[in-house]
Amino acid sequence: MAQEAVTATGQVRNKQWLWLLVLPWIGVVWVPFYNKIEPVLWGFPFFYWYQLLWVLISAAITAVVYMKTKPIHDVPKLTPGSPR
Amino acid sequence: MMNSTATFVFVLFFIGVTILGFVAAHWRKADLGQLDEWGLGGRRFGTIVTWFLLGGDLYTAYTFVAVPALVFGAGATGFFALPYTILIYPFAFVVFPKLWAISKKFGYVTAADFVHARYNSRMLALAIAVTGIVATMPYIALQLVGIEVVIGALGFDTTGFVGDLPLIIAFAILAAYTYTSGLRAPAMIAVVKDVLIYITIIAAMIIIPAQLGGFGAIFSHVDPAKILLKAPDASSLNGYSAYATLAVGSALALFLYPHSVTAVLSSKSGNTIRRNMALLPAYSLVLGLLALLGYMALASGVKDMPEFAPYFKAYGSNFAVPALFLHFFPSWFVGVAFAAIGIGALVPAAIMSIAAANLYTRNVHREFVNTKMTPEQETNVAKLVSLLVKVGAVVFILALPLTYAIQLQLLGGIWIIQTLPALVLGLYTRVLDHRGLLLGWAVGIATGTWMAVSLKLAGSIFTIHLFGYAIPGYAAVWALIVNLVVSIVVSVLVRVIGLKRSDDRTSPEDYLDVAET
Repeated sequence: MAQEAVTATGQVRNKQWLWLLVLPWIGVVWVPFYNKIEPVLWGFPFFYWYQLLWVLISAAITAVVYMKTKPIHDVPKLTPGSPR
Repeated sequence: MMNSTATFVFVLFFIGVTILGFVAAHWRKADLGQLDEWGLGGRRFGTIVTWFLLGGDLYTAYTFVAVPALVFGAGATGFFALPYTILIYPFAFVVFPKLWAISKKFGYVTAADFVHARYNSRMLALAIAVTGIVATMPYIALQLVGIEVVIGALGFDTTGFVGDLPLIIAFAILAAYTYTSGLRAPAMIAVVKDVLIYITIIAAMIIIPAQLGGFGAIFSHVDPAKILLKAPDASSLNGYSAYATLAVGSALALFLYPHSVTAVLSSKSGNTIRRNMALLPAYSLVLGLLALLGYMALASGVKDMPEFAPYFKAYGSNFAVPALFLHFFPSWFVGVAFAAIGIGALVPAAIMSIAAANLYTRNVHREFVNTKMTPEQETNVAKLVSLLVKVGAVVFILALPLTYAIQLQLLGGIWIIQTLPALVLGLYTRVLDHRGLLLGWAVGIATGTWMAVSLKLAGSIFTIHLFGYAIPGYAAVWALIVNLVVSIVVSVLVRVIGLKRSDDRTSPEDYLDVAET
């Protein structure tokens, strides 16, 4: 951990990836997408399993955005005497 | 009659977390005389501790009792808690690492600290701080309701002074270790709480649906009129706009609450926060499943069982989940599940009282009472206030009818969202003027309160009429729109008239979110 470095500017890289985070908002705010019973999955009406599924999708999306926008570790911070 | 096995297990866990609460003072030892250390755990919590802390903070005992109770009573509408928690994390991912970065740089302990520096307006900062404190108080009081319901469910009489004793003892202990250990105490206890919650919900999902004949059978017991939202018709958007605005409004409000800000600022880097936003949905999944417990309670018919009748009479739908556990779980596991709810009340209550104390100390006391406080004096004031806040919450719950706390909590959500323009927009731009923001805040609070009062504080869905078409929606969202409009209009006017603008004590490079070191 201690060796994780800082980008030159410290700014988040690949900012365009942040737009992916709009998807969960579209997916669950637009109620007409999912206010229905069919198709039923394992006894769950669509309304319920669709929204539960979005929990997983949004977690995955956030993870991807996190990976893509992590500050670049291009400038390893060299402290004298620290193991390389 | 008292359930002795369950009570024994419950008390055992309670003693365990009490010890943990005091031990926490020695965890990552530092000078607890600094407000940063007492009130923010030294801003050193890594990914895992932050995950437990935020999870323990945002998903409170009241959530665990009230969300299933709402689904139990209202059906699909009550499920809005799920989209709400889905929306929070993408939003917080973008916004809150920025607040962390600037707070770390200048040593801000509260959101109002930031607003003060950004707009150089201590009145605007005061407005933000007071809103935070006032919105938090009933929230703490409601945590007591969570404890009260499980203590009642264990078979204790919760009426009269003797009935109130367990609650008073629980909060006295909580107050004592929060006083000595600060934020470190809830951070440690959150780990126990969350593990218990996960165990309970997994057990519930394995045991209960199997006994009720699967989810198909469970959903078949739900009133067909309540299983979906009411679709729009020729005159109204009905359930659709209500559901969507409830989810959006609640999501925008959640991270504005002081206890969320405190947990965010206590993490060790912006990256820690971002990583957590991808990991916290695990709790949303639990919340979604918990909400379904409301339907399980319907399907199992606990409401009509004579042994539970007095409890439903005393606690209403809030008793749905405890009844379900009592009916399906063996006694010892009822103790575990109730401990999860009870401890689930302590963690957020501790963090909320710390957050309210930080706000009072930094943005009220230091600004308006004693401007020359040493760090030690600051911490002492905060510690005392955290005690007062808890005493206030206990008195509130014991002296006033429960409905007051619920109504104030409802108003709290409407109020806290009015701090969004100053705080969240402030992180991105200075185009809005502090006078505009202050006026917008005031008008937003007034509008939201008026809407809620016109609903007799019984609900938060206010119907507006646009060109003769009815749009029911969350009052907080309507009030926020009014707030934004006023803020923008006044800011434009200020510019047109040419009034002098306040200084910005931050500069653009301060917002760069430096990664962890």
